[in-house]
Amino acid sequence: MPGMVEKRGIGHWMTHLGLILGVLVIFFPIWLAFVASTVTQPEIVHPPMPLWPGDQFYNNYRQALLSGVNAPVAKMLLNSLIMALGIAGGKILISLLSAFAIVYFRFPGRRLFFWLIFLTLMLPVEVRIVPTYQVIAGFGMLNSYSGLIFPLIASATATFLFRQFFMTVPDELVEAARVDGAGPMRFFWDILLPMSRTNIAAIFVILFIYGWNQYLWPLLITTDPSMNTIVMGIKQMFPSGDDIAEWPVIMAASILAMLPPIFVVISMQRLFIRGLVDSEK
Amino acid sequence: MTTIRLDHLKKRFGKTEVIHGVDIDIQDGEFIVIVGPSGCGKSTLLRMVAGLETVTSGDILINGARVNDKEPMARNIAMVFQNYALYPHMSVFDNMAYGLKIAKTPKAEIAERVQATAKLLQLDAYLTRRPRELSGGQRQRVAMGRAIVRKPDVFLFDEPLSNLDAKLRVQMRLEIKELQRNLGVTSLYVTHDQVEAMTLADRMIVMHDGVADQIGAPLEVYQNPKTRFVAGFIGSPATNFFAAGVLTGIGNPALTKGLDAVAKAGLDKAGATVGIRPEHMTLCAADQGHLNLVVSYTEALGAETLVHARLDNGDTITARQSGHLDLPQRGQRLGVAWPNEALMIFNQGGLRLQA
Repeated sequence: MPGMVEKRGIGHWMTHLGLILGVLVIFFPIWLAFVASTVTQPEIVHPPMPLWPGDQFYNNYRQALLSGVNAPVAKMLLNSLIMALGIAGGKILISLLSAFAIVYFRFPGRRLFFWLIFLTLMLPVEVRIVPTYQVIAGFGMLNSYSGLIFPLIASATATFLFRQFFMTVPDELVEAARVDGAGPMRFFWDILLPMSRTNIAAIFVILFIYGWNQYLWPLLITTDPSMNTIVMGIKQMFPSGDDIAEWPVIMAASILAMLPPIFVVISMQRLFIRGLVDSEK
Repeated sequence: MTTIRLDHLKKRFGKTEVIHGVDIDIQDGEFIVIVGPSGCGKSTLLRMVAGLETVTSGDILINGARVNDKEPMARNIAMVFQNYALYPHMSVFDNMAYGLKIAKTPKAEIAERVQATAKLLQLDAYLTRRPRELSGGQRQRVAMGRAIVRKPDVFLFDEPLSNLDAKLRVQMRLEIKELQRNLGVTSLYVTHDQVEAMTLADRMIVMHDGVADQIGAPLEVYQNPKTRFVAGFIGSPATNFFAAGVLTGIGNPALTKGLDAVAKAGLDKAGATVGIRPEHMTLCAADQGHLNLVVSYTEALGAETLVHARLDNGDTITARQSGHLDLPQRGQRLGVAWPNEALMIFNQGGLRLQA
């Protein structure tokens, strides 16, 4: 049927055109940032702004990574990495265990605890930020990795997601493990954990980016530039007063700040898909 | 040598009692099938023996030792689940070896025992596969292998064949029977399929609403059901039941011989029923038999024909006749007769009145 082919053809091209336009719109600022990170300071401030990369790529990135403005970007990247990994890992560990307890054990107040955890979902970091700050300051954790990580570790979202997943694991599997003589923790390590690995991968991606993009909390508790995380550190690179903003360096830092989350998403996406294909409930 | 004894075993979920006291002595090597409709408590009974459900009252004794409060592992039982319950992320080998690994069996011995069991079940070619890469029948075998490899005292089967297609079910049924006979392991097998019960069981327990209606060898249960429920549940097509009054009303002395006492006691008025198995019914010309009927439809299965008909009072009955006999026509009026000893009489509570 030629009519149908034609119809599909038009729809096909329109769809692609729309998608390409969308990608261009979204990609343009990132492209500008990249261009800005490869030219010299005077080239940026003199309009019109260049649209094609210059020859300062190596110099700008070297300067950003090794010296930066207040602290080397390499150090800030490391801080962010430690914070994001700590938050993602800690959240997953704690959420797995608490979801395990809530789903598989009958203890007094089980429902109450679940709803208490669930309630904390409704309290964003900003709401409890003042008391949290006081507690962390009281523990002497300002300007430390533990101060960056611990307040953000408890996660109702991940607990909730793991709970939902655990509830889909057939009871017969639990019973088979019991008949095989596996105790609760053995069951957790040998069976539940391997079965959850796709969920863990998905949640890891979300939590890593959540940790990486933390802005307000690091801004509050890190006063020492060498403890700054990259996302807030970029903001700290803007000059106060009459100093000149070193745009090429700032833009290089921005581009660098984007890379780890992209890397995590892409690498975890593979694992995520393989996990989906591999596993079966 | 493993004997099991259930002593007044009861189970209550909250306020509802689902098992009202089951007693049985199971001999070493015996194959016991627990059969009944869904919701009769048969799975619960099995799960109590397994240790997956707590016992409300009564005792479970394995080899004379009370195991009520022991973990499944400590009872040395192995269970085959309806959905196989294989660990999806483990290979066939690991699935079978998991129990042994937990029991800290030496690695060489695990490998040897798993290999031997796999060979027995023709699974040796699949040991490295994951459960999802296997067919239903193979998964079923892995589930059985997982049970066999542990060399348990007792096998527990929870409707293990209900997820297989009909042909495979017959094949696996034979395999299970043969395996159990060769291994000589005392077994409890839950099913809702009376064919499985009849063919597998040394003795069967017919459960109905949490009560063991009858315990006995399959043929004994078939020939001599103790309750109306058992008479109706075991045997296919199901036994025909109608009110005793239908027969006492017709005044045939030869026919009502067994019913005399019933009529005298007024039980026919109180709701006693009679049951006659379809294969005991013979069709004949109208008014020549004990009752008259009108044929509603027939099912010719080749070797046999099922004739569904309506009695004059509106009750439906099914008669079974040999396939070489002429097919009755739809709407045809016929008589039906049966030997007097085929008559089973049950009181209004469903209990068999005469043996």
